[in-house]
Amino acid sequence: MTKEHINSAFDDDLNELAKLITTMGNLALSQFTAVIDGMADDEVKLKSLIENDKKIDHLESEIYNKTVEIIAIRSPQANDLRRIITAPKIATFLERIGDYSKNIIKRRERMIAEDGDLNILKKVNGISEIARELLIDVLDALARLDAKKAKLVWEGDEELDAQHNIVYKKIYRGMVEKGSSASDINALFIAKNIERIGDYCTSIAEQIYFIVNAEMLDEKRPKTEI
Amino acid sequence: MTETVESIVNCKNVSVYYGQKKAINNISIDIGRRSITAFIGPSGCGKSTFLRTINRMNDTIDSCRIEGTVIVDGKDIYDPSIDVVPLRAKVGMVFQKPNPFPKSIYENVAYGPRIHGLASNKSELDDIVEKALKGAGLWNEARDRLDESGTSLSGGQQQRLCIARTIAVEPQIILMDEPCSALDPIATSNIEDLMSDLAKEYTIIIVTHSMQQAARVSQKTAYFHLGNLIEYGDTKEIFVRPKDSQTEAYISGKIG
Repeated sequence: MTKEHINSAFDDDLNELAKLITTMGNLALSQFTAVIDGMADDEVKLKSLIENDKKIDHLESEIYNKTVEIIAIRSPQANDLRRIITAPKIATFLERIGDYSKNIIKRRERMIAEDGDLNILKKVNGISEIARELLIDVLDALARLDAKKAKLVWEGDEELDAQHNIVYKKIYRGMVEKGSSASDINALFIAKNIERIGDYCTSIAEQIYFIVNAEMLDEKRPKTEI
Repeated sequence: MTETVESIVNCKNVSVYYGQKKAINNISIDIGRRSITAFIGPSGCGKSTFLRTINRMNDTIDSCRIEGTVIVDGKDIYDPSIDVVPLRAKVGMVFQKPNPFPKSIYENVAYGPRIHGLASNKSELDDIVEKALKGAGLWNEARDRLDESGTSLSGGQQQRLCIARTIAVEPQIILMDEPCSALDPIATSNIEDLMSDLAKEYTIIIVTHSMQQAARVSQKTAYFHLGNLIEYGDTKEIFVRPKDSQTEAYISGKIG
């Protein structure tokens, strides 16, 4: 914040809201990182991480409550208002990112239960890295309210889409050539979950752009279709 | 989007001095007819001084000197040929503290029309009083107590009585200088509701310290700071995406 409010309690409220979002973002990132780092390794146990998702969900409701409280008490205007009104939306996107990490864990648990080969998940390593970069960058852009960086994330999702298409086709071709297994199908779903996390990063990037510029990014986002 | 509204007040390069001190610095602004314009800004920014140039209320201050032109409804109001008495009927004013005359409710409203010769008999005067009290949203509360003193009314009712007194002389413009700052929230809502009705017929310019009030009632907002007009535009734009960082800081509670 460049200028502080005359009423310092208003700054305290805004800082508290920003802290809740940062905490939520860090949790979503660490959850996703643990998932993608360990998912192709038989030795790594991920099931216990499912519990972490509840913390993310809880933060979402805390952000909703704090937002309502600030609007009711402080009557925010202009940039303040945009920062506050976007908070629950960003929280929802982070919550969805948390859900996708949880979905990946659940799919992997199913693969383990079915004695599937986790090695196939090495094929999604590349897109996992791109998604992680997007998530790190968008959280950084959010903390700094850096609209330029947010726009780079927004554009960068195209690469994730393109790489996802390649992975999808590779797994699909293997299924056609060698016959499909349950692991192949699970891997396809996991790849899709990772691709969706990229989409939510772009949604957060749009909110950052709106906070800073008071208008939505209305350009057509570059997209690669399957 | 800025709507095109015919203007009724045109100020060009207006500066106001109190002795050597320049209180208003070269302000030009056009104000739309039958609309509500809010003047906002921190204390001492010149918004009330500027408001008072529009009906020459600053003339009552000896050390006050004005430069530039103020055109009201096509006439330069600082032209030597202008008589301020009819000007102040045409450009009425409502103040911060309700100030009814220590007379009956009826007399408070009838006084202006009588001195301006707007009624030729008692029945016409009665009609004017009724119409003005209705216009100010006070008729239902006051019709059975017209002989009671204006000061016996509640604060909000007194302020509406002052509005009735203003509109009884058929003004075109009503200047309001913080008209709700001495009122409770209910009375404030009543006045704000009334302002929207009045704006169908009159032009209202309101000075307010309540940003929320400016946002609620006005179509245009002007932000003043240290005697300068910093930003003037559609109220929605001013409160949603102000162009000037000083406006943003003020409406966000960062300077006062």
